Amino acid sequence: MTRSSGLTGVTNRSSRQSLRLVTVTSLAVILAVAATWALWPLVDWVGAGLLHWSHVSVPPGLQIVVLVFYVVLTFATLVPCTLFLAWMSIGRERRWRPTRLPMVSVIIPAFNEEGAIRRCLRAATRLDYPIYETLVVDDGSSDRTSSLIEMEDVTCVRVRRQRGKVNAVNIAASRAKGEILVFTDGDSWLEPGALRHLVVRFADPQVGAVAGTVLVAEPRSLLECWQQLEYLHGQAVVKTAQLNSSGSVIVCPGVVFAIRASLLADIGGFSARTVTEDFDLTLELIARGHRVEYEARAIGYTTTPQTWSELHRQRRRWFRGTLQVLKLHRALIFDRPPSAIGRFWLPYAAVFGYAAPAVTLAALLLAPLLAAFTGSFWEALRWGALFWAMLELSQLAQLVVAVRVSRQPLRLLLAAPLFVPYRLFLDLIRIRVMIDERHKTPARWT
Amino acid sequence: MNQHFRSWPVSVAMSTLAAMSARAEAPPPFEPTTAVGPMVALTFDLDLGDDEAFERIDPLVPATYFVTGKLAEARPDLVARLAARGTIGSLGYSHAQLLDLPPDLMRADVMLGKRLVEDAVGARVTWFRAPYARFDARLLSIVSELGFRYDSSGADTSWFPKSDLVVLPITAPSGSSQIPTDYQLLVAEGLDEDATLARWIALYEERVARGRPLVLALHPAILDDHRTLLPRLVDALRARGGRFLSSDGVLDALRDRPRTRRATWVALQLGDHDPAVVVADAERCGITDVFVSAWSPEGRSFLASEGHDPFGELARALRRAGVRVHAWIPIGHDSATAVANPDWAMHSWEGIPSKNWISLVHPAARAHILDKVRQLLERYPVDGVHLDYMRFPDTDHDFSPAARVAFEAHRGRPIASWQPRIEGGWRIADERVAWMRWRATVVTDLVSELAVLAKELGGRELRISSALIAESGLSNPSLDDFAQDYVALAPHLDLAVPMAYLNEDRRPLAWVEQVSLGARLKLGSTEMLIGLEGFRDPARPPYTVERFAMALDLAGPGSDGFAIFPYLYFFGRGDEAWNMPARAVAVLAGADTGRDGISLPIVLSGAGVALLALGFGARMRARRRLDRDRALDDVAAATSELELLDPSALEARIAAGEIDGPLVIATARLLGRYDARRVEGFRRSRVLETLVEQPPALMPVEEDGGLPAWEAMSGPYLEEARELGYVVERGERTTLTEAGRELLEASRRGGYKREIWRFIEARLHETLDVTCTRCGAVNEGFWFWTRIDCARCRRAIELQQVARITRVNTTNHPRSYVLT
Repeated sequence: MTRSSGLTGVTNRSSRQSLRLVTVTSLAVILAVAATWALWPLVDWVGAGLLHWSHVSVPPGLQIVVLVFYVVLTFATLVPCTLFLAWMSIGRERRWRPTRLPMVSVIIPAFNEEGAIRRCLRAATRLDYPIYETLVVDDGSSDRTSSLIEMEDVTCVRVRRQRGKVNAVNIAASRAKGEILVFTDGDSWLEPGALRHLVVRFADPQVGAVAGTVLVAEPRSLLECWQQLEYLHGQAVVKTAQLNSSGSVIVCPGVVFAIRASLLADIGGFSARTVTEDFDLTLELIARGHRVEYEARAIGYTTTPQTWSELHRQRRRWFRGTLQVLKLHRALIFDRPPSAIGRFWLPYAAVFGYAAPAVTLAALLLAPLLAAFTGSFWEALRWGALFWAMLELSQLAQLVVAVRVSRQPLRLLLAAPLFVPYRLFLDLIRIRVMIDERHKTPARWT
Repeated sequence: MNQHFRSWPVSVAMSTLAAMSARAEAPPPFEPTTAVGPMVALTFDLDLGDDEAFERIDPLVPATYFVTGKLAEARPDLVARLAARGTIGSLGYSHAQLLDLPPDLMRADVMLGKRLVEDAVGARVTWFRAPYARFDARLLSIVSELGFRYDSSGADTSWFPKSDLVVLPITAPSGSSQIPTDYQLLVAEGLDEDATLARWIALYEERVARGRPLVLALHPAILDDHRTLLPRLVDALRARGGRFLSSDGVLDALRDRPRTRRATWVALQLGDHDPAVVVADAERCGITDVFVSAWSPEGRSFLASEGHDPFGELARALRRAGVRVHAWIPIGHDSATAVANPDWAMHSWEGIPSKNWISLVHPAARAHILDKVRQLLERYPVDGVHLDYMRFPDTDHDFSPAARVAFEAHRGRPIASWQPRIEGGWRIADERVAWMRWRATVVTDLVSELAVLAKELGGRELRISSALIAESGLSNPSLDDFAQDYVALAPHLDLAVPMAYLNEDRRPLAWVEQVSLGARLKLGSTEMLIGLEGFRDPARPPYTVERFAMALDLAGPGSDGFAIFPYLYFFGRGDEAWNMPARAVAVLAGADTGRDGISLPIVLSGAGVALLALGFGARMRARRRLDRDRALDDVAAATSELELLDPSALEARIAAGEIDGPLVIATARLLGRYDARRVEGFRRSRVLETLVEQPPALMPVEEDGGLPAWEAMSGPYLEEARELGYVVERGERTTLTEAGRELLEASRRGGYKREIWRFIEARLHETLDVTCTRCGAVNEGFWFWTRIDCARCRRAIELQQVARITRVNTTNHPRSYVLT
């Protein structure tokens, strides 16, 4: 029985659409480049015309440094946003329709989650979907997690000694009855409607997995608000842009994502070769010719790091994993036939994820030096402040889009003015991770 | 209500002063408990139409009346009159089978019932009873969310999920899950009046002996046919000293117990304890009892050796000061012994010996435990023995060879497989239930054995006490985890100490009162102290003196006092990170209420905030009112409609192809009654049923035609049933085991019908084409959800107004699905 996969409906991809895809994408990239370069003279014009600064006294060295710094940051963030806006204004037609509701298995790995597991399981047993089962894998917890799981109405798979999340999830997947597997974490919980929206996307037989939206649960502190903004921008803008320009996204979050059970079995389950198994799996699917879609309405809430040091630890794992996965799947970039994911989004992730931080930091170090040694200290400071303001503005404009699109309260934007320093903190971690990778420091799943 | 608790530190302090003046060399003799006295709570379930019957049989004693919303709507006068004489509770709105309703209707029925009764009474209603005594965790969580605090839905022997309600269970004879209501005895069992009366009186005698209240559930419609029965019951119980109380009256009587004892645990392993300092601290705070560790849970001994006698020195000093000393012995937790003798240790189901816990079943380990108690009592005069860790660590223990042999002997047959994979390490559900019960008897038997031994050596005056897991007194999941059955343990204990460590267990403050009342109802006349945490755990949310003071207040009702763990941290003499602030001791000494004084700026800013909040509140309230009223209208419409929903009628209309918006809504409502667990259960039942009908291992492909994927779909269920031991393969044939047959029967009793399964399954395999009423775009929909957002105009389609909907059936679809 090798008929194509299930849940399907009708119609083929039209050539008109793929043409449009190429046109819109290239148009958006061109627009982004144009906007970046158009903004530069604007800064110049504002400085000279309005504020009566003579730009003659700014040394050419400083100008170049600031220019590079500015272009890198603006361009990096403008591309997804323009792509997103372009596609949003055009819209896309649905090509496939579902014909039934398949059985779903919700799989929750839990390791020492006594603080959060109750809420997670409560939500998991109250999802608004007619036919699903909940499987919890207790990965050898040493606290009260196991007894808390016992109290809820779920099936529990126990792994005695802890052998890691990947192993735990694979065990659960092997005994799940569902055609679609939905993964979430022990410290996160799903919105009631999540399954309904995830499942409908599988009508398209090419779709292998669907990523949901991850949100921070009740962001209160500034740190949590920044993370929320980062998540919103990364999903509502970047993921939508990825999906619309290439038909796929490049990362499925472990907090909420669905995959065809048969496909996961074919691949052989999650792999422990990197520390971000979800990213690895997504690219593996793409490499095998499947598509990985993004569904904004399937929401999972997660608890985020509360302190800088926790954030540092979490991001070290993520960035390290991303680096490992990019290295592992670098062949995708030159894959044939060419895809927008391979040709554009992966290099984009590599360059603006890892090369840009280096440039940014170099500029940040060089600028004061240049300012001090060229004798025009105040001038340099003024220019810096102006650029900073421009950066913040372009950032803010995009965050407004992200917050509005995902229907989050606008007061989140109160945290936006300081978003750039937050990104610089993340950049520092990225650089540290690159050094780790060079020195082959063993990565840990923390 | 709190008046009483607020003033109690003062009254306790005074009684302590009186006790101090009477102090002699040895601690005062143990005063017998002031028993609350025999209590009888009659509860009546009153539905619409029961009002006249009730007026005829009305016994005119204080009682509890659980009233449906429909009755309160029809006879508000009667309900108001009853409220003046007893406690009024809610029985929901329509006396429906609440568990069969979809969540929104379940919630609405409970909410509507509460509101109507409250309107009739003019006061808050806090008691709830589930119709037909059917309840589950879902229902109870809705009930507590809606503002109920007390529940009387189940029998003593019912299975209670974890909830936030204080439960006053209906009395049932031990070991029977049948509630002896008038209906059960007179109608179901067909007893005559004399026999019924005899059963109730026997139940009363059993209860009085243990100091627990008798709670009977009665129905006017049935008693109306036996008009002399109720007066005879009232007379008979009065003659035996019974006091008739309403449910609130029972709780008030429990709350009125005098609280005379204050205890603390001295854990010698936590640091140095100077006997003089401990005695001074105890006197300062009026401590009456101290649990002094004789061994640490790690197995370290504090008894005399090599010239040191930490236990003896402290015990002697405390007793000289008139404080009762209980030797605190960890029973199950004994790391040193477990490591030294791995075969004495508890084993997990994988067969790994524990490094901390010793088996409560292994003969040598048991002898070791008894020997510890003997050793102690032969060497030291003490006032009591305090048994700690008198339990299992979790459901995964104990699977040691000795325990397996003992369990098989208990069951009277070998256990087929000890090699489980899922569900807490167990294959078959009934085996698991038997296992849990057996573990509880192991614990009870050991306590009884230790109690007999200790009283032999230490005299009849010696008090046996035990520290218990608090939640195990409230809900069955916890009882299963730790195997501490309060009701069974109570006769063997002189003093029980439920440990209500709310910060450590991450529970809300109200939990302390829930523990206190819940445990008291189970323990009867056994003395009880509520254990409170007296330390700050750096890994937990901050534990403040205010919280401690409030917990101290809430631990009052039903208890004889409290016990604080541990002495060293509470009095600020241990590790700085774990110590309580110094004010905690002041709270205990009665000098501080634990509440901060209020300064003027706080008052002013408070007033400002309050004004703002008032404005907001008024708006919110108006909005919530509106929402609530709308919800109630929905319910009224839906409940009346619900009776009209019938799968076969809907099926016929769907088959005829006349599908419109209202039909889809009606179908969604019917489908909403079956949540995912039930649908899954139906599928499992269908698989089992097929095996009964057609013994050869064939799945019903032909018969259930129109569901092409069923063959592939049923595979995993068959696989699972095999793994769980519901089916077994004998050669070519796959047949049901006894457990499988029982499961199928249970599922049929629980509402499984082939037609309903078929109906749901067919709906899962269809989609709908719904045309948007605004823009005319065709959207796909499902039978299960009534909200469809139009893909083009992005607004919700008003399904009610859609006149024509096309059904897309998988089977007639050009590219019908197949599973790979």
